[in-house]
Amino acid sequence: MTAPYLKLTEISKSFPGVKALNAISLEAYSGEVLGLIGANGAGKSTLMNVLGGVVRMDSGSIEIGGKVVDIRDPLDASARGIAFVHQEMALLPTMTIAENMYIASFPLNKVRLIDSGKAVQNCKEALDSLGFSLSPKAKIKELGAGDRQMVEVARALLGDPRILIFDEPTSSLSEKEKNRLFEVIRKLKAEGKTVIYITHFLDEVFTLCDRAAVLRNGEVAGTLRVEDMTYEAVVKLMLGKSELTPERGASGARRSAGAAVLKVSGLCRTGVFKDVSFELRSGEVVGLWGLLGSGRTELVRSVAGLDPVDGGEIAVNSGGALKRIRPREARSWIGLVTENRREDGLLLASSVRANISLASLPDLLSKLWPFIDEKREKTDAAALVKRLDIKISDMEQSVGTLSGGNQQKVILSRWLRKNPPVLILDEPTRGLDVGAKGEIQEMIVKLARDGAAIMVISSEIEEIMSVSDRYLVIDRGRIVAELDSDASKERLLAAALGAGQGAKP
Amino acid sequence: MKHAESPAAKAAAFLREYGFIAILLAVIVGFSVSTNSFMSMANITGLLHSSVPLAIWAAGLALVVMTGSLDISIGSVAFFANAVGVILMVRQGVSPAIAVPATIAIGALCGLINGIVTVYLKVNPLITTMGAMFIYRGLALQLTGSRVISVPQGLRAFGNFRLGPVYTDILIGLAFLVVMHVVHKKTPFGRHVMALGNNKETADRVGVRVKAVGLSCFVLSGLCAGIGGLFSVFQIGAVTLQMGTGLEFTAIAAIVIGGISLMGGEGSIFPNYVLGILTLGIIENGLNHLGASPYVYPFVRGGIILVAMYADSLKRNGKPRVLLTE
Repeated sequence: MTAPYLKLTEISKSFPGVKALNAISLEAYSGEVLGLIGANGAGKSTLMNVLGGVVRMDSGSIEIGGKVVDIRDPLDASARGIAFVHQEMALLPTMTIAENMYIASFPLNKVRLIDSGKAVQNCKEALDSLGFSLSPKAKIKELGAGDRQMVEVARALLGDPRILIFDEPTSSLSEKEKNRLFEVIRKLKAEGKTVIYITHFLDEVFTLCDRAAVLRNGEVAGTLRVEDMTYEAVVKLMLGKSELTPERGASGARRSAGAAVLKVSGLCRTGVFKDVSFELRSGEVVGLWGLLGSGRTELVRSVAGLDPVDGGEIAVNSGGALKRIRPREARSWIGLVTENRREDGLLLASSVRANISLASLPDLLSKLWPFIDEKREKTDAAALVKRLDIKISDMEQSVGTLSGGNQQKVILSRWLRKNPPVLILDEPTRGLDVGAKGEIQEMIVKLARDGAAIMVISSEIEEIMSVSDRYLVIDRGRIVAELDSDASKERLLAAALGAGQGAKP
Repeated sequence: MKHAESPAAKAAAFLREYGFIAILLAVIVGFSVSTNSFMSMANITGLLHSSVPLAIWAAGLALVVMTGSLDISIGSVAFFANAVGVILMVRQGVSPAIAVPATIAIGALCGLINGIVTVYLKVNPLITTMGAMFIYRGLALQLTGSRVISVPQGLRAFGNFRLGPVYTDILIGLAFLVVMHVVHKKTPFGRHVMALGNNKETADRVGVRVKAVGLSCFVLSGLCAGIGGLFSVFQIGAVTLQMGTGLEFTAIAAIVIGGISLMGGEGSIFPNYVLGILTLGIIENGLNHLGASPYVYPFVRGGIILVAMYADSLKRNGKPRVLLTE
């Protein structure tokens, strides 16, 4: 092969307290698709932000086409021929495709007014060249996710870039839309562009990429040609040698689980998840393990009755027997602690007391009917504060002034106050420091020991391993494996990466 | 390959977008049948004539609303700007050739201040412009000494001047709205207004200068208030103490009735905004011809707003149209 078109040498970047990139060296050639793989926090985003001019590197050099360049800001990056297609699409829904494509640079006529005819014509040509038959006058809000993604791609191609970076572009696409996107990427490759493709999904790397670089803890753990690649090799690179021994965390030996309290069978939601069945028993913690974009959050939202489902059954234990309930009723049986505690869960300006009692106000009415029994509210809340060891100076302290760990405990207290038979925790320790993390994890295990049925979602494999009694592995909306507590890290990771589906030729 | 825009689909989309046109036509027919004076040339030109000041006054506000923001100070801004202008002419003997542009400039300046406070100091626009509403009105009352000030005779004549059967200000108003329409539909600025109304963060990411566009809309809103106020003053012949009182809500009503969403990112000058203004004018004029009590007007106006908002909500929750054809 000829000289690399893009060459990164010894790039390092530190943020306060973290070394995000540590002497990363990477090469990408014209006419190739380079896959970029790595666990969360491995440094993929930081590296791309350096290339995109969003973040400045501390040291190292970037060469494009054999020349050392300095990328100061996003404009600089696009002037060097680097374009991005982001996972989160930057589109304006009430406006047309043509308007979205040219919003920053409309073609103007002689009197400096927008030449709509030309914009539509150019847009049509751009879409056609991607083999894509959408009307440029269609509004974005009328398009599905796949078509929107194509508009993003078309816009990224406007400046005729030489290097295209796709950041998890398939996370919201259907199989068909994905294949269409792959066709486009292959075409770009054939035109001699350099494509960097960031993904969680190994099978996409197998079908699309020529080579793949695996990042781990801000370093390049290895670069593989796709022909030489196996799931095992990639998982090994992602985890690193030091972590290859299976480990058991705080939960210790498997606890004995009680009766089933939740039975989900054949649950599906079109385009989101399919045919999901599982049971939760009292006294156990089940880890729902899957990568970002695997549909794990969507699944638990539907199970908890927050989002609609298209089919399947949910049954809960009512008086000793499993009783089928309507999906919308699930919210009174299942407590869901969402990953955005600040946005979805807490009333930040309200007191600890009010936050704890929020979900169970009907139980707190005094005999003088419409009034809240504040005495009981207070004593109940105080008992929970003590039980979970929440550090506050006063029950009336506003939740916004608490640390993240204590805020999370306040939410947990709210659900314990309501005491639903099933508790689902989506990323319960996200954004917490190590100490608070450990505390919350211990608390989860303790709650299960006291008889609760708990499902935990976490992006951190160590966390899910430290609390779970068994695992459900989800990949693109399907439960692909059910593993026991003695499953090893490699096993879990391989299952979530799609090894269970036999995608590797 | 063809795109799914058959005539029938187009008609359906048009009805969904402008369904209230049907209602408006029904109302017009109703008034024409039940009174013999409504459908007369004199009444129609009179109706348009009396709609001109509001139509100009709130045109800038329409753009502000399209960015997803709000400006309820336009009534007071017009009062203040015109009070200064008329006082310059009447008491200081300044020529209208200077006083009229000064009035417009003061309107724009008031809008600039509103814009700076909202866009740069990040105060909620409703609060900013409510404060501004009180401040400018207070200033104007102070200036006029709470007295009605009449404008010179020549200018008064201008406000009611006719070319044949048509009032000249109808033509000027129409030209003004056409310019606003072109600015909105045909300039990058206009598209950027819509981009802000969609999502400011996204607009920023795709290269729109979000703050500059937001600020410009407020300036335009003040500018339009100044000009609309001038037309009103020329028609009435004086700056009255009630000038612009409650006008902000009439203006928002017209905008909403026309189908411009208060969420931003939707709507146009022609036909949305203009139809909204005309609907209000026609209904009040028609009720007048029916001999209805003036106290009925607010009731009817409120009813129309609720219906318009319901239509907006239906539109929002409707199923997306699929345009891709294989």
